[in-house]
Amino acid sequence: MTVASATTLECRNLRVRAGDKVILEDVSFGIRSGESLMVIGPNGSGKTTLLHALLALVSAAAGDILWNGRPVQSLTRRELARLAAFMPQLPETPTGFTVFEYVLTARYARRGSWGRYTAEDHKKTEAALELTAMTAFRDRPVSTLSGGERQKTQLAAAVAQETPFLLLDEPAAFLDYHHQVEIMALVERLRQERNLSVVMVTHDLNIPFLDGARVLALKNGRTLFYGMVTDLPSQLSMLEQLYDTPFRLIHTSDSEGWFIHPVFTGPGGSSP
Amino acid sequence: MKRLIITGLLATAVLLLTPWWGAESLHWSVLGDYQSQTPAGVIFWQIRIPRTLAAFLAGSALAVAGMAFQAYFRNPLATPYTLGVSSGAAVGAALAIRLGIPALIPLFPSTAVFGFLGAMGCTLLLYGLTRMRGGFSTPVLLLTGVALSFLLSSLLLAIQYTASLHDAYRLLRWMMGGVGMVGYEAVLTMLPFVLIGMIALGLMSEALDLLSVGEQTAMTRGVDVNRLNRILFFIVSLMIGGVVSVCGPIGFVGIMVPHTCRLLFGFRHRVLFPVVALSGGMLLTLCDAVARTVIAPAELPVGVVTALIGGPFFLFLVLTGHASDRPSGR
Repeated sequence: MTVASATTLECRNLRVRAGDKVILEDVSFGIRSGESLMVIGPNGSGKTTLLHALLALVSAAAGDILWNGRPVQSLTRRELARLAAFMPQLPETPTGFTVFEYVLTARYARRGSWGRYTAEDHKKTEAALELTAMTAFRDRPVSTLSGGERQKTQLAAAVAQETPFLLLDEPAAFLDYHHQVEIMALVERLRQERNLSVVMVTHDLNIPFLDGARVLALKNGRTLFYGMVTDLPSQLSMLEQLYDTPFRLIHTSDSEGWFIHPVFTGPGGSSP
Repeated sequence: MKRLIITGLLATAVLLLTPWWGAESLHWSVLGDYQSQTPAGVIFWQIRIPRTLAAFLAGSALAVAGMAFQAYFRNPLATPYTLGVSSGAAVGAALAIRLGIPALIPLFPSTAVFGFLGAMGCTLLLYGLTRMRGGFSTPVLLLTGVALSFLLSSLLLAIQYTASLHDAYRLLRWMMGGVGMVGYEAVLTMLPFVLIGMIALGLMSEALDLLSVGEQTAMTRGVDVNRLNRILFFIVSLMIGGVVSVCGPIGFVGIMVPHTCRLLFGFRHRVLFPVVALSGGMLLTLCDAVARTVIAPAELPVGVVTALIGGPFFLFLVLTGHASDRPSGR
């Protein structure tokens, strides 16, 4: 199920406004299928708005968003839904739908003639549930699931949508460590097996995979840094400026790995 | 599938049996009297049969329109009747009666056309008002609907008050809701409105599923939400306008039927749609049979019967929490 032709996503000098307020200003990046992007920055820096703009959920005041070279505003919803699946931070809760029925709706843009879901759509939905280990929850109403199970249902839907791009807005927020690891491992597996491009808004600077991923740091809607994730260890002062919090680099014992950790400064003095 | 067949059989049974109920008991031999002018033949073929068909058609349309609005507004209380769209249609149709506007389009009586325009105007107003403050919230939506209903009801009263005695009585009787009209004309008037609406909504089943989850989800999965909204509003207005102009504003069918069907058949509109259409037809046909037999030889307006069942049902929804935006959400 790899995507045949290379797909590209390019964002050029994007500006998004909400009324008079500028939410994003002069944001640019470009990735092709298989490449990934981490979007970091403090709360309110425009990260979610960036994802929304890429999906034409908000319109740009200036600049271009190009999917395969085509401006996003010229794509139909259906075309866009075949390019990118979206996992919002706070998904709308489907009332009444079972997990299977909900994941099946992700096949909307690929369903057969007469608008019906075909046997293939059902097969792909089952496969997505299998992959995310949600088969056991197949007939449970989504509204009865725990936070982690719901997030996996969202991911199953994104898988069933069969897109070369996966746009994730803090997929592991609110989850316990087990589900955080599970979700992230799944995302990484998808990325490798299906050559997916992942665009992920995150507050986790230490995601141990996303090889060769780029990182875009936003502050007050402007680009503070755009480079490779592997550059981050040398960017501690940038990170301090980004979050108004000092960071330090911790090397792991095998000397390959590293962690970036905020320095706890507070009434009790410096770091623990 | 099995449940759909059972619903279909039940609906057929209701259609076959209810024409026999009424003030006048009929012998089965009237079946052969469809061309003769015997009293029994006329009662059966010219009154009971068209009346049963009208009730079924109107009930289906009201239930399906209710289902579409419930999906769109993601709330079981948000139906064309509760949000004032039926009142909008009623004002349009009443204006056409009061002003004696002749049919502008051949085959479509002016009441139906003005009923549609009234419903459409009301729907657009509702949409505009609830969107004005960026994204609708359920309380704002329902309150706007209630306010619109009040406004339109007083408009209706004003139209009625200024009408001649004869027109006023006609308007009053029609406003109570009923399918007691004689002949097939009423059925034929509603048929194109209802048929177009049914076909269009039937084709939108999968999109309605996504819309009932949420607009953002619908958009990111490939639904052109803006276009869908426009079509949906147009279709629902068409159906409500057509039905209300003939039968008057009949309430609560659009709330009770789709909500009960969702509890029994699940939330997928591909499955839900035919069951809702059949059950809505059944409910109104049965209510009408009750309306014309319970105080025979006089009869109640069917709107009174549906309101008597529907009022408590509405309260039940409110009190059990089914009416909240996301019943078991976070």
